[in-house]
Amino acid sequence: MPEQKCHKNQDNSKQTNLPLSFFACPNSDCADFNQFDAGNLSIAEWMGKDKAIRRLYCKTCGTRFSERQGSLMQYTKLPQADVVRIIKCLGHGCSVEATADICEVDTRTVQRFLEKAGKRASDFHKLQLENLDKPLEAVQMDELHGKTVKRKDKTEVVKVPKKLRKRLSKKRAKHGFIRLWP
Amino acid sequence: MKSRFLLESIIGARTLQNAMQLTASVAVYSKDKDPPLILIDDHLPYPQAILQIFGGIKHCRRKNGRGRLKYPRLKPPADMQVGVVKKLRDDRGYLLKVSSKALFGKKKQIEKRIQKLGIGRKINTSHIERLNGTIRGQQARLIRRTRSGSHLEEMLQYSIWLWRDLYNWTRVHYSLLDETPAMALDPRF
Repeated sequence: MPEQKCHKNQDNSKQTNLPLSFFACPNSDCADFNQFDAGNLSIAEWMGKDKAIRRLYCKTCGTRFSERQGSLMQYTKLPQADVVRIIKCLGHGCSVEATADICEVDTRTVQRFLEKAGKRASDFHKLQLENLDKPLEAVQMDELHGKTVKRKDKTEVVKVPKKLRKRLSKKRAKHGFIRLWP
Repeated sequence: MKSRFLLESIIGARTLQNAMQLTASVAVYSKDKDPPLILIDDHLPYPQAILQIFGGIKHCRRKNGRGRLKYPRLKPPADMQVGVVKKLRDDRGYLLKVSSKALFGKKKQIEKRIQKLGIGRKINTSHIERLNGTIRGQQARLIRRTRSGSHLEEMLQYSIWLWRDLYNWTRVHYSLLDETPAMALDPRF
């Protein structure tokens, strides 16, 4: 595949492209699936608004995929520096609202990144520990108390007599407030 | 050599099922080698969970030749060593006394092994307790009397997974001679 030149980076910060040995084919049917530095990858094209994202091509199976596939940057429009800052804030224990305020993004964006990053972190942990050769020597086990809001059970539906229902609806319309359900 | 590596964190009630899940993760990462030295507190489900995961079946023999045979029981492996830290508290919850005992294995042998590994002199859970303090200090969701607690268990789980990886793989530790816990666990990391 002919190699095209990158015109300009997505943001003006120092964003260097990783060497191709850091990537592997994500196609599970490929013979070189998940094999790094196998020499099967080449750059197919530059894509994105600023032509800063590489699309890679696997010579073995012919799959084309974005270099961001499987990473936190996949499908995001935020610059890399912002994503790193969000993850750092969350890692240091800032709340979602604090992180959103610091990074000047929406709280839903932070929650989405937390979910993505948490799952990826778990996968990375499992993957690395599979390669652990040294046996565990000593383990300590303990509990830590934490609190989450319990989900409310489905509330019972109360049958209201027709007369009362009419009266309530009239009142609501008249005074412009919603009365609590009896 | 201590590594301070956080292996697994499970969110849920303090039940036998969760204790078994936690113990199973230890068994998975020990990879069919000798079971590691396990130090626990006096949480009731732990002994049963350890027996369920690591133990084998013990068939009882008939002693006299009369009567019903006893049901098969679970027994720990011969080289299994488990130490328990017991905390005695008064009615108000204040700590009165800390004692320790060996659940499986001999207490002296466990203490010798602890000294050899350099994680203390007696049976203790001080490293995990210190880690609990660290996570409480660094995660807003777990601070005591906080208003920024999690509404959903999943979000708490994600934040702990993220924190665990940053703690294990990126943060250097003073007591580990400026190495990360992962580097201390296995130099290849």
